[in-house]
Amino acid sequence: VGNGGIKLRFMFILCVGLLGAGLLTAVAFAANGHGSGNGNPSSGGQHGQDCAPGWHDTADGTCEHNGGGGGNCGDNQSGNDNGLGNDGNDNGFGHKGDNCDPAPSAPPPPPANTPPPSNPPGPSGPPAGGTPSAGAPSVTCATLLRLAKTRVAVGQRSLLAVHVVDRGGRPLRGARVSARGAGVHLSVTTDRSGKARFAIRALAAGAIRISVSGSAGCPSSSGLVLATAVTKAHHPDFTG
Amino acid sequence: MKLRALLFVAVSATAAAGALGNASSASPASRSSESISLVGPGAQSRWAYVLDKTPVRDAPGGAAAVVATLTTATPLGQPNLVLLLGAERDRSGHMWVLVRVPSRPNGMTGWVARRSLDRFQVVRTHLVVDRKSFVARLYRNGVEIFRAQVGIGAPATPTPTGEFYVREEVRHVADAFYGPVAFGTSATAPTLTDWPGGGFIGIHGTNTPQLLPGAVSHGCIRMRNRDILRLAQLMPLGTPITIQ
Repeated sequence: VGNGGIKLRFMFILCVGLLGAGLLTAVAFAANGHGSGNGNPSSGGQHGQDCAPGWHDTADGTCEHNGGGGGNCGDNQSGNDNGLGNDGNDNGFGHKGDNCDPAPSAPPPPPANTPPPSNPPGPSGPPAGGTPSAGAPSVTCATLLRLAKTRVAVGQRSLLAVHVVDRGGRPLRGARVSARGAGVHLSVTTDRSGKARFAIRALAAGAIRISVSGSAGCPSSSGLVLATAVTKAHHPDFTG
Repeated sequence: MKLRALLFVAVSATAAAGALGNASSASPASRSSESISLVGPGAQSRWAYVLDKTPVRDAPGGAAAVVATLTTATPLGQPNLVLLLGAERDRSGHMWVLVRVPSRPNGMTGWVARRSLDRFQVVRTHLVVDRKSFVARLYRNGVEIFRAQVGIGAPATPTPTGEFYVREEVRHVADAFYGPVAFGTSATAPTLTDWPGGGFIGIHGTNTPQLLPGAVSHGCIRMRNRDILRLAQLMPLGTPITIQ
């Protein structure tokens, strides 16, 4: 074999090596972002908040666990703080196989005019977020928040009923539910039946975000209540 | 030559693979420290409700000058919302959002603290009003889905040009002058500066359809009632508006 042959073989091996390395690089980078919720579960939030590693900004001023890198059940990932969605998970509610599907079922919302619960949280029902017991790593913590009404009138006192259940539809006691917006800043805790009530009076029109925060490793859930001044809307003062 | 060709293919493949990898992974890294565009990709736009009354600043940071104030309510007593343009983190790590300010002068933008806004919501619609042809077109994902003849501002009270957005929608209006549905926009009338409520431009129906199309209004965009009802089915809050 002459020098030309050696050179030929050397160049061939070099080329194959370069091609292989390039493809591996591509696969590695692509896999890093593919359908992984907010990306690497060991990294912190990307936008809006300084979240701890493994958490991200939910765009409502709170940090939310990344859900093991698989998206958070019940949260549309396209609604992320940057609004750009996630690679391959733009319509996602977490991955299949993450216990995110099938869609959770929940009991109907409570009647709007039931009296506020007077009993303190009792021993029955799982606490908010579910405290893992020794030797029980699986925790029922995914919460759903149901609002009995989504609109209130400005200046009027409104009772807002909230029902928090886990993904199995069981009431979640001790869940901290907060209301923020339109001058309202309140928080309450659910009773043993997973219910809580806000007595709110919006002094101005605006949006009020009702949210229940999950404990470590659990997703949060929220809903929106709009406070509107009905009479003003009936008499617009556009230039016409 | 074959050797060189083979080498070129290999190097090109490596470079392309690297670029692909960067495209897939660059976003999280770059977003954490760089400005973020909240417009796009494609026809996507974003908006958010204003949760708390908050100052609008001319730069991202608490020390920047205040140029306006965002309230939680619109002049019509509806929840106020802003169109989002970008985001940036200040030196202390707080996130700021560049918004289109519904205020005078038209076209004002400014920065508000992220925490003063609710969750970001996405729309894929865009309303374009052409003053010369008296036609309004609504696009969804870049495709025209609605077209109607309109009335615009008379020469003395012109409809402003520029980039705006749909801020509110009201129904059951008591005054038939506005028709069955009225949208409030972020645009203000350039000449009616002392108008009650700030002189905001609306998009609404009319009880004088015989005047359309034409330059007949005080700045508002008027449509026939059947058109505004159809538009109300297609155009969500937060939809960007271009008036040209």
